[in-house]
Amino acid sequence: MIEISNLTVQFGGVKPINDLTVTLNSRISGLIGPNGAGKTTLLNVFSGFVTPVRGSVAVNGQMLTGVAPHLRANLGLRRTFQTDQIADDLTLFENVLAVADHAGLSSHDAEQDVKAAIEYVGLSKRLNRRGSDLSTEERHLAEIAKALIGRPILVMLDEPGAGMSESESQHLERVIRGIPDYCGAQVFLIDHDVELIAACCDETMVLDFGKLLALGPTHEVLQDAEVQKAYLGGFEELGVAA
Amino acid sequence: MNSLLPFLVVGISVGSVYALSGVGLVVLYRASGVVNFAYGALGGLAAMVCWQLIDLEYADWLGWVVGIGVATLLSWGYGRFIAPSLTHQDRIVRAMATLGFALMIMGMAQWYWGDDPRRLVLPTDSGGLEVDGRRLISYTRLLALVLAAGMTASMLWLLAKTPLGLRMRALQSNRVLSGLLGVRVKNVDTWAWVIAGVFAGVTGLFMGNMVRLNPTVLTFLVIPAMAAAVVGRLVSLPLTVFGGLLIGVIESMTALIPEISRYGSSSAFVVAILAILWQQRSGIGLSRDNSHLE
Amino acid sequence: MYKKDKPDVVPGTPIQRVIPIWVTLGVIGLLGPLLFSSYWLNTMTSVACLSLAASTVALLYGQFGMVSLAQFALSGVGGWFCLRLIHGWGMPFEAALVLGGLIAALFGLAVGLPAMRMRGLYLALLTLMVAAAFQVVVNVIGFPDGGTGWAGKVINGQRALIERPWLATTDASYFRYTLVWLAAGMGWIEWLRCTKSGRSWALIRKSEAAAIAGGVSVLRYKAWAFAVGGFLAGLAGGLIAGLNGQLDNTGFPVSQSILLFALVVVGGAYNWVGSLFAGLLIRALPALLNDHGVDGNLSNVFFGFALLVSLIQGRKGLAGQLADFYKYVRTSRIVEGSVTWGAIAIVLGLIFEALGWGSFAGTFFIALIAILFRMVIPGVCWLLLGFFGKRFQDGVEDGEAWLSLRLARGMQAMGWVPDHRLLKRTLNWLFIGCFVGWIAWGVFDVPFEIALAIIWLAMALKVGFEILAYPYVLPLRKRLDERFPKPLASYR
Repeated sequence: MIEISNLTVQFGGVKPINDLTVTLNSRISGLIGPNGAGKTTLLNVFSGFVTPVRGSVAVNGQMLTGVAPHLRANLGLRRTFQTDQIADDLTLFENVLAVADHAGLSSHDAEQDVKAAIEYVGLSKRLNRRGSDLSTEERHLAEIAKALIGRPILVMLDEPGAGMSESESQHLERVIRGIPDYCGAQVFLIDHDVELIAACCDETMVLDFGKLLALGPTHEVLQDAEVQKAYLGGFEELGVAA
Repeated sequence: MNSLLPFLVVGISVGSVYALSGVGLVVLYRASGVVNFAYGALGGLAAMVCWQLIDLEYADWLGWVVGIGVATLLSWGYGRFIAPSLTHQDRIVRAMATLGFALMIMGMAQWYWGDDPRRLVLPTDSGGLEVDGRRLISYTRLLALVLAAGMTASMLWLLAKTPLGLRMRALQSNRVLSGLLGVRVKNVDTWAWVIAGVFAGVTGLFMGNMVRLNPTVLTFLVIPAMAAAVVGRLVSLPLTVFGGLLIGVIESMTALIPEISRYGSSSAFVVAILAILWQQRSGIGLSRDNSHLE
Repeated sequence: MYKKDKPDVVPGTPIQRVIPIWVTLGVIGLLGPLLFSSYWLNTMTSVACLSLAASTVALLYGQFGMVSLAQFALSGVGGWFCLRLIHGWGMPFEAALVLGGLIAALFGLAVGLPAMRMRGLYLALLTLMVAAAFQVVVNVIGFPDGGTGWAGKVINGQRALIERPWLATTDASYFRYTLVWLAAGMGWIEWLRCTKSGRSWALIRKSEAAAIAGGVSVLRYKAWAFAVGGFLAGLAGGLIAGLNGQLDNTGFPVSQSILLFALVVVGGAYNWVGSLFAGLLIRALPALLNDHGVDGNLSNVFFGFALLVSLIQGRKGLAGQLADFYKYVRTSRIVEGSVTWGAIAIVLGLIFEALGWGSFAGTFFIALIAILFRMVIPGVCWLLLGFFGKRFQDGVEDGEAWLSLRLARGMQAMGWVPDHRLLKRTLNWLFIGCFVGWIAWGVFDVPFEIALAIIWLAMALKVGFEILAYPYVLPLRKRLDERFPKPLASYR
C-alpha cells in the first residue's frame, strides 16, 4: 500500500507537487499526467533524491522520510529510470547480479534469483551478452529484472515502454501484469502510453501540475471528462476500449 | 607597516600576473568549456621566443610581438584544428587533451633551449616608482598591475557589451542550443582560443621576467593560474582577479613568518584546495534536470 | 535489432582473470634477470613500481572516470612513512611497506572524501593542487634518512640508506620481489573488478542515481576505491624507496603525477596490460632514448602527442586497441601457436648452447621476443597507422595484401609457386628480425648478427615444420579447433 500525505515539493518558485494526498492499494497502480506534471519528481521523492518541504510518503506503513536513499532498497523499494542504466561493460547477468549483491542474499541464492528474474522477463538467451550489445527493448526489460531482485515490496516503473514497438509493448504488458504474482510486490507504473496503463493498471491517478486531478479504477479515470480535457484531449480519437 | 609594504607590493604584482593568467583561463573555459593546461606552456614558449629574438639583437618590441604572436597562433591552431575533434567528449577529456598539447610544447621548448639560466629583461625593469628615495615598485610590476586591471576590464566589457561576448555567454549556457539558434559555434570558439593565446603570451612574458625563464617552470605555472581560476569558480572574472591577488599576497607574506616561509610556494595550492572544499560544501542533491546526482 | 555477430561473453571466474597477470609477470620475473644488464634491471624494477602506481590511476579513471592526479604524490607519502618507520623503529621492510601503504590509503581517503561529490573536473583540479602542494612540502621536509626529530632528517653528516628485505638483497632478487608485489596488487584490483566491488563500481559509473536506487552506497564504494588506490600507490612508493635505499626530495614532482595519468590514458585504463605499458613508457622509454643519445625531453613531445591521439580516438589506449585487434583471433590458433613456437624456441636454445654460439636462456628469450613481436607488430603497426586515421589504416592493410599477392603472382609466373600468405609472412619476419635484432643489441648487448640468426632460423624451422609435417598437423589442428572454438575475446 502506498500512502502519500500532504506531500509538497518545492524547487525555487516551482511546486512540482502541491499538497498531494493519495492512497493506492491495488496490485498495479498507474500514474499519468502531462509532461512536467511532477510524475518523475514523485518517484524521486520515493527514492529519496528529492526532499519534500512538507508531507510524507509511506509504503506498507513504513514511513520513508529520513531513510537514506541507498537504504530504501533494503526496505523493498525498487525503481527503474526513464533512461536505462545498464552498465555497458558488464554482461546482462552481471548487471542484474550487481543489484542482487546488495540484497542480502547468499551468493548461491543471489545467482538463482538473478537467473529467475532474467528468465521471467524473457531474456534468458541474452544472459551473457554485454550491456552495450543489448537492444533498447532488452535494456528496458533488464531494468525491470533488476527491480525484481530480492524481496521487493514496491516496484516503481518510470516509462518502461519508451521506444518499444507494438509486439514489444505486448510482451511488456505481460511482464508488468505478472509482477505481483512473481514476487508479491505492488507495482506503480508511470507512463504516457495510455494503452499500457489501461491494460495493466487496476487503478490510476492523474497528476496535473502537482495536483491530483483524478483517482480511481482505470477505465473510469480514462473516461473522466476533466482528465480528457486536461490530458487526453478527446478519448474517442485514441480508440482505446473502455 | 613600512616593513610589510615591500612584501605587499611584490605580492600584489605577482598576484596580478596570476590574476591575468586566471582571467585568460576563465574566459576560455566560459566560452568553450575547456580548462587549458597548455596555458603555461604557451606562455613559456612566448617568453623563450621573445628572449631568443632579443638575444639575436632584434628590437625588443619585435620580440614581444612575435612572442605573443606565436602563443596566439598556436592557441588558435589548437582551437581551430584539434579542439573540434573533441567537442563531443566530456570536459575532463578535453582538458586532458590540452595537457597533451602542453607536453608537446614544453618538450620541444625544453629540448631546443635547454636548462641554461637565462633572464628575460624588460625595459621597464630598470625604472620604478620611488617613495622617500626608495624604490617601491618597478615599472614592470606596475605595468603588470595595470595590464591585469585593463585586460580584465576589457574582457568584462567584451562579455557584457559586445555581440561576440553575448555569443560566448550563450555558448557557456548551452552549447548545443546556441548552435541550433544560429550561433556560429566554431567561430566563437576560435575567438576564445585567440584571446586565450594573447593572454597566455602576455602573462608568459611577465612570468619569464618575474619568476624564471625556463620552459618547464613556466609550463607548470599554469597550476597557480588554475588556483586563481578556481577561486573564481571558473566563471567569475572579478573573483578570479581577487583570487590571483590573494594568492600573490599570501605567497609573499609567508616570507615574513620563518616557520612557514619555506612552504610559501604552496600558497596557491592551499588556497585552491580550501576554495574547492568551500565551494563544494553542500551535500548531494539532484541535478537541476533531475537526471543525476551532484 | 541486436547485433548478431557480437559474441556472447563468458565472464570467467575471478581466478581465471587473475592468472594471466601472474603468468605474464612470472615469466618476466624468471627471464628478466638473465637478460637485463644491472642498469636495465634496476630500471625495470622502477618500471614495476610505476606500473603499480599506474594501476591505481587506471582503477579510479577506468572504473569511475575520476581523474586523480595525486596518486604519485600518495606514493611519495607511502615511501616517506616506510622510510620513517624503518629508520625510526627498525621495522622489517614488509611491515613498513604495508603500514606505509595503509597510511597512504588514509591520505587518499582524506583527499577523496570531500571529492566524492565533485564533478570530474573539480576532482582533477583538487588532486592537482594536492600533488603540487605535496611537492613543495616534501621539498622542504625531505625524506627520512636516519636523523632524529619528527621528520627523521639528518642535517649534517652521513645519510643512512635502508636495507633491502632479507629475501631480496641483490638487484635480481629485488626485481623479482617487486614483481611479486606488483602481481599481488594488480591481481587484487582485477579480482575486485570481477566481483561485487567491480559490479557496484560499474553501476556507479553508469549512473549514481541508479546505483543508489539499487541499494549501492555510493559513498562507501567510492571510498573503497580511493582506499585501494591509495594503499597500492603507497606500496609503490615504499618499493621505490627500497630500490635505492632512499628517496630524493625532488623525486615526486607534480609533473610526474600528471605524466603518470597521461600515460595511463595512452597505455589503456581499462585493461591491466595498460598499466604495464604506462610504467614502461614513463620510465623505460626515456632510459632507452638516453642510451641512444636522444634527449629525454623529446619523449615528452611523444607522450603529449600520444595522449592527444589516444583521447581523440576514444580513450581505450594501446592495451585496449590491441585487445580489439586480437579480439576475434581464435583461441585454438593461439594455443597451437604457443605450443609450436615454444618448442622451436627451446630447440633453438639447446642448439645454440650446444654449439657455443650463445646461452640457452638468451637464445630462448630472443626467440620468444621475436614471436611476441610477430604477434604484436601487426597490431602495433595498425595502432600507429591509426594515428593517421582509419582510412589510412585500411589503405595500408589493403596495400600490403595487394603487394604480397602481386609478388606471389609474379613468382608464379617465373615458375616458382609460393603461397602468397607465406610470402607475406616471410616479409614480416625479415622486418621483425631486424627490429628485434636492434632491440636485442641495444638493450641486451647481444651481437646483431646472432640475434638475426636466431630469428630467421626460428622462422625457417617453423615453415619447414609446417611444410613437412602438414599431413600430421591437420587432424591435430581440427581437434584443437573443436576444443577451443571461440574467439579469444569471449574469454574475458
